[in-house]
Amino acid sequence: MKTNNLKAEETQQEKEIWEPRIIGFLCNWCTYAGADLAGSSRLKYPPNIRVVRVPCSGRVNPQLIIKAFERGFDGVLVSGCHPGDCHYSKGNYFARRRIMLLKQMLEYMGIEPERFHFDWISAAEGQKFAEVVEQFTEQVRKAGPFKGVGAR
Amino acid sequence: MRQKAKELLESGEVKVVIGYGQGSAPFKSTPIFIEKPEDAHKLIWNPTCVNNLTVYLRDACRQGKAAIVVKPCDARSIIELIRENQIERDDVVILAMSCPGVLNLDALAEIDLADVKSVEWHQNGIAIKTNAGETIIPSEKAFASKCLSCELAESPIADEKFGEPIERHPIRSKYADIEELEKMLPEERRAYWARQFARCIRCYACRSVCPGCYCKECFTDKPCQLWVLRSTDVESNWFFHFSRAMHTAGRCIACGECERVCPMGIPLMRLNQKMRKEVREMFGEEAGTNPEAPPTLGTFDLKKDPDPCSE
Ligand code: SF4
Ligand code: SF4
Ligand code: SF4
Repeated sequence: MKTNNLKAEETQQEKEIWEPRIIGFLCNWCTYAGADLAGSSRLKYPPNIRVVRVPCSGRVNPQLIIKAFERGFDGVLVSGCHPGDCHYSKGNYFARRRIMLLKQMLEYMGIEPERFHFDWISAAEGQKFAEVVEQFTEQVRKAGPFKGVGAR
Repeated sequence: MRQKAKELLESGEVKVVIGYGQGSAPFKSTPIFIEKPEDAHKLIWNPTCVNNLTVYLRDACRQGKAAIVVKPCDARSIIELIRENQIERDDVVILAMSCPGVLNLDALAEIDLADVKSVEWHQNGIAIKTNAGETIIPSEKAFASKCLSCELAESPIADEKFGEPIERHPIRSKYADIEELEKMLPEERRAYWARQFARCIRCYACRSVCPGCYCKECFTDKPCQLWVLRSTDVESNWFFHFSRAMHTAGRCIACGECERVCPMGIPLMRLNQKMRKEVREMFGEEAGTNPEAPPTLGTFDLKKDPDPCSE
């Protein structure tokens, strides 16, 4: 019925080769640089994540995450600087409130909690970035293909 | 209340009095805007005064000082409007009514509507007078669901109070409706919401009636259609309602207007109440109580806020 809901139209064959589709909103100053470091250090992590670089985790409007699920992503990762390290000094504190509320609401709206992950990852933590992506991808893989928000 | 409205207009202290007037039938009221002192007698106050009139306040205050007739629950949206700098406290005169509860129209299902003469409060509920006599509808049936869990004895903000404070005995929990949903598995809840939102025709009545939705330009009206499509489908509806809920976080005062006006009977309060509950539990905030507090999502508490990583 709906074109943007890729998951609902999957054939059996496609399901067998299903790979989680994950979108990551990463803060420019910390996590994005951390991801860069993971790359330049040639660390291995699953290629399932599509990265969107945002100026600050405080820029992550809940609507972006809601939209990602509406469009049928299997998982969403949000990550920014550790508390106290924000480039704009307090963006991540605002993010923290919003994300906590969103987390509860996502679950209430029927998105399994395994499909959403939030973490603090600094520019020096290339290793941590690779691990978080690895673990999260596994977690989403276990949760299985997301059937879409319109699935009844 | 009429007398006060008249005085306010006569002295020129306010330009307009926003209140309730007789609707198209005895069991309905309609919002009225009174600008002449001699019209003050048109104001009414009875169980049919259901609307939350504060949705008109922002525009009215732009024209000058305004007076408004409110129920205790509605008064909380004035607090929110002040809190978010949408109106100035000095620009409004609050005529606060004491309120036993407002009519749930469904309660009239078994009554011949053409016959209704008047709708009045009664000590055991609401009394409906018809040609055939008087029928008393008991409280649980007569009142809107928000009234059954109402804890407001009187208005939290007022310039002038009318009527005695009400002794409240809520007969149900305000979270009764969401508990059932909370117990479901995420997948079941998703299916539940998909079933509800499949019916939404996106008339945006729920948004237009909400005193907390005051943006001049709403994301739903953006012509680029990136956020929500013009056409309706379950996904866009889901997106719209989820986003709107996040937008009203910390400012929804649970007046129930969005649910009341929905032509498709979508249980929007089940979304709002959950949001209110989470905001209260996580940040210790209750919308509509403190005009001085910074906006819930526009602030943070270093020590008390929960951390999404430490769970
Ligand atoms: S919720 Fe309370 S204040 Fe509001 S209409 Fe009902 S009884 Fe009156
Ligand atoms: S009032 Fe009802 S039908 Fe209209 S947009 Fe809101 S939920 Fe949808
Ligand atoms: S979201 Fe609904 S219940 Fe909440 S303030 Fe707006 S109209 Fe009232």
